[in-house]
Amino acid sequence: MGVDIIFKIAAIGILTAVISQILQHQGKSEIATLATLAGLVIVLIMVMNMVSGLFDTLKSLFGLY
Amino acid sequence: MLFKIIGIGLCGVIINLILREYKSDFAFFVNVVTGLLIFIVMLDGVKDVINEFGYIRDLTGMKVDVVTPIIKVIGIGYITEFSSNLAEDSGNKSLATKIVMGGKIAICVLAIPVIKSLINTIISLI
Repeated sequence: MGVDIIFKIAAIGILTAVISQILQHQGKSEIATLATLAGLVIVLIMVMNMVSGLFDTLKSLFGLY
Repeated sequence: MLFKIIGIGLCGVIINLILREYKSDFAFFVNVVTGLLIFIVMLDGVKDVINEFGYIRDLTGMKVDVVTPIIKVIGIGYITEFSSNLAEDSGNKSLATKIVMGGKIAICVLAIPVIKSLINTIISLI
C-alpha cells in the first residue's frame, strides 16, 4: 500500500495505450477498444477497492454512521 | 510525514502528465489514487488529533454531545472536499458544487442538537 500502486496504474495505462495503437495499425480496431476497456475495468476495480477502504477507515475514525 | 506526502503528490503529478500524453483516461485514476495515498499517510496524524480531542474533553469536562459533533463535522468536511475536488478535476464543476452543498446540509443537520443545547443553557441562565 505505497507509491507502487500509482506506478502499477501508470503501467497498465501505458500498456493499454500501446496495445490499442498496435492493434489499430493492424486493422483490428474493435479488439483495440476491447483491450482498452479491459484495462479500464481492471484499474476501476482496483481504485474502487481503495476508495471503499478509505471511506470505511473514515467512517470508523470520525464515527460517522 | 510531510515529505512523504509531497513525494507521493509529485509522483502522482508526473505520472498524470505522462498518461495525459497518451490521451488515456487513466490519468483521472492516478489522481484518485494519489489523493487516497496522501490521506492514508496522514491517517495516524488525524488519529492523534482525535485522541487529543478526547483528552481535552476529559480535562475540561465538556459534555460528550458537544465534542463528538465537532469531530464528525471535520470528517464530513474532509470527505466532501475530497470528492468535490475529484469531481472538479475530472471536469464537471457543477457536480462538485452539488457535493459541497450536500456536505453543508449534512453539517447543518449535525449542528442542530448543539445549538439546541446552547439555547437551553442560555434560557436556564436567565
